[in-house]
Amino acid sequence: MEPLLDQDMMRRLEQLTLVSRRVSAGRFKGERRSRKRGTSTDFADYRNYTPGDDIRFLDWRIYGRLERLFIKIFLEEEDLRVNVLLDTSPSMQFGTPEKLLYGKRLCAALGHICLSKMDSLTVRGFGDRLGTSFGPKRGKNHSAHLFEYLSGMEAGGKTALADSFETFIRTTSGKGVVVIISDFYDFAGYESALRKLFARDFEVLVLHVLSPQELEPEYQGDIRLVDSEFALTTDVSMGKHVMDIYRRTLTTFCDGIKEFVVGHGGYYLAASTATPFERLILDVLRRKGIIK
Amino acid sequence: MSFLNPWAFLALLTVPLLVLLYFLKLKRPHIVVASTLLWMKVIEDMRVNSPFQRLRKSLLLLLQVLVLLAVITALARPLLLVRDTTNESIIVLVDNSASMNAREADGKTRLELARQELISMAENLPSGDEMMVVNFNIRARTLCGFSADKRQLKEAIAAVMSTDCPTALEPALILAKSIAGSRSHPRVIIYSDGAFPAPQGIEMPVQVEYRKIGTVLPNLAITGLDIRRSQGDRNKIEMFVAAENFSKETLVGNMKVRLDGVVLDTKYYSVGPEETLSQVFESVLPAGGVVEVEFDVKDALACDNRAWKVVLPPVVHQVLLVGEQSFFIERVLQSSANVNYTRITAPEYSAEEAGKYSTVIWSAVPAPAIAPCNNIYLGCFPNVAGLTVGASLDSPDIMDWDNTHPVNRFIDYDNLVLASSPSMTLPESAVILLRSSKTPLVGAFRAGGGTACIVGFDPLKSNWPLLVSFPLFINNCLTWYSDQQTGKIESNIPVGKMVTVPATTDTPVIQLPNGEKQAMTKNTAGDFSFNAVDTCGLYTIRLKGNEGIDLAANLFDRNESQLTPVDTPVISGKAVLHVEPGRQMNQEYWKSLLIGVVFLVLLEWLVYHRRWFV
Repeated sequence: MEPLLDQDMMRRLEQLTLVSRRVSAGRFKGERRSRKRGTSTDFADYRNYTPGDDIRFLDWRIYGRLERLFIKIFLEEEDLRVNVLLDTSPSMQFGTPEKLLYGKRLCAALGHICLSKMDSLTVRGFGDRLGTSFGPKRGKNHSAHLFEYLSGMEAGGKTALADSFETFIRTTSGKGVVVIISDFYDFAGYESALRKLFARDFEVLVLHVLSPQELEPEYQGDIRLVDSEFALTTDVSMGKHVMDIYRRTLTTFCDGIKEFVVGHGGYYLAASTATPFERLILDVLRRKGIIK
Repeated sequence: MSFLNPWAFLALLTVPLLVLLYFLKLKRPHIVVASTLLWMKVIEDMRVNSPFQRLRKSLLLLLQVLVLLAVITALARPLLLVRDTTNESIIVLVDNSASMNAREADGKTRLELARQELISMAENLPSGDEMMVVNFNIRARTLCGFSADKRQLKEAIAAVMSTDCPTALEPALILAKSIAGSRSHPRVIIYSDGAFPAPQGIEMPVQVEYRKIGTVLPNLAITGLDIRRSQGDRNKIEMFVAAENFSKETLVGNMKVRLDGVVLDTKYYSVGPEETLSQVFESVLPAGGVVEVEFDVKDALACDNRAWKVVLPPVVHQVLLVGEQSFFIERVLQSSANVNYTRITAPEYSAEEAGKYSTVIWSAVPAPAIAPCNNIYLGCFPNVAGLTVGASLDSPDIMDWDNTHPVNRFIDYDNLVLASSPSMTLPESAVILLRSSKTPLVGAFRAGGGTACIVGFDPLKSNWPLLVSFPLFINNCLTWYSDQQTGKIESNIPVGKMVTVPATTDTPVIQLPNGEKQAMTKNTAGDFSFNAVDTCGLYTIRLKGNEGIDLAANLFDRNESQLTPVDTPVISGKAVLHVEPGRQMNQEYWKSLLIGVVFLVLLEWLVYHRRWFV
């Protein structure tokens, strides 16, 4: 089985950082500036010395000038909590390349970036419910486990965004970044599900994965389309007119998700699996400012 | 465009069935997709915006419907008038029958309208084309052979004269068929109102075109006039008149009955639309005369408003009965008011004596002679070449009789039972009037300057004298023989029929209804004939030394009197379509349509397998 990421790619990813627009409190000491005062090299402020303070942080120069004791305060550096939710419903098994595999590689790449930057990474698959969790883990020595976890992930269930996200919120404390990799084919809609994440003040990054076959279907004639998850059928007589309406509907669907996500302060990126994976990570995501 | 078989369009009812079957039986391939979420929205959108989108976009269905429509149209046999560019030989058949005398609203007769169109056609005859003019009524006559000379053609067209004759298209078609075979591009055009019985059994080698002349016109016509002497009083006549109103309105007026030009009776009539009127008149007429009936009506056709009938004086048959006393035969002869008979025995017979009689009845006389008049042989046989008598047959059955022969008029032989009858062979010229399964029983033929009617069996050895058919047979024989002898010139004929006068030393002269006199022409048999009885009315034949013999010619033809032009006449089961004048020809397109069907089916096959546009 082909590895999700090759060594060269992994080395290049280690140079990157997942960008968070917010400065949020982490659980462990990390490499990201925190609102907390801590022990980093970044100076933050002074305060009067009180007995018991660590004398290593006394500013002797000010004492020399003013003969008063001041303690130097430095910014704390904490980790970033990154949660990646990967859609593993049967609809993700479609397309060439397969959307699920593409999603796994995306997840692996983002995960490796986060682990390399000592961010707290949690990865969970979801279908009709939330799957088992990888993490939270920190440090790139967990990348191999992550890849193993992702490789063992199998498609199943029926897409239920709202239920899955509800479970995620209940089982997750704190804030952080939530990366959702999905095709968003949920007959119940995506709005209520995403609204819950925004309500918890997560920084939401939506990677909307679509295959070329969904962007430009090549069906012809009178056909019966069967839904992979719900076994629903739809009779369609394909033709130019039908294709025009489909394209219009797809654009409306994608624009709807984008408007919703961006409107709530999140990131949205629609990705075709036809786009080479390396180009998406190293070029598209960087240009969008999602990683740097 | 017109269609030879428009009934085929009833099959259009199958098109909705095809569409229904298409959607019912459409086998859609199943394709599993990630989600039908977006497709459902697409379908909703389509349903809202265009409920017939599926139909419009289904090329396969469209092709199937096109194939079906093309097949149905081909079955309807479409005709298209196309311009013909070949050098043609046009045979024009102009109807000059009675109905063509009908006067249209503009005051012109149908024949004048036809002539007008034909002259225009002759004037515009393209270079290289030739035309031939034939007029037809009950007969066909070539007025001009193939010619490109416009002056000659116009003269021929102008020579098409009106007649009161009925129409028969067969002679004209046979003539056209024989001529068309010698030309490379023949074309037959009928100028007529279509008032003719459908010709049968004539397969034309070329397509026949029809130029309809005339419009629907009102007409009242005398369709029958029959006169007979009263059975009770031979000096009285009974007249029966039948008339029919062929218009859509009630016609009223007076009808006059004249006898030898003197008004005998006048009656008011009122005939409803498409109704028939029957009137009976009586009059005393001890001698002969001419009865004329006239309806004073202003309608489109005049020739059927008058009718004539020649009434002959009552005939008294002089009959010689040769044989032993026969109660039944003599009873029949006694009961007939117009029969004088004398009975003699066979030895008393002499040819001179027989010359005084019109009919000799031989009743079971051995070896009878042949009198120089009409002979009826009952149970005996003259010595005539071709007549042989064989052994007697017991109880011969009655198999068949000729009920069209005047001698068998009103006679039914079903109840006739014979004890015996000899087998006999009649001369070749004989007409068999009654036959059993093994031998002729009654026959008639010409012999000895008269006629001979042979009844092979002895009537007294059968139940015949007790049946009504026996006196009828004797009376029919006497009447028919009398007509054969004295009515050699038929007194009442349908217009158009040839008049024949038996050979005489002098040439008879016939006086036409318009007063014109014409000498009759001698035919190969030595008789004189006149073949131009073209108008209704009273004709008079004059022989030198004799007073004139009247004969009446009448139309009595519903086809001619019903003045509704036929749109599509039928010739041998094929419809002949009305065409507009001009150099055009009807071309059938069903072959092209079927070729189109083949291409459509091929295209459908390609579309189905390549999945184009569907």
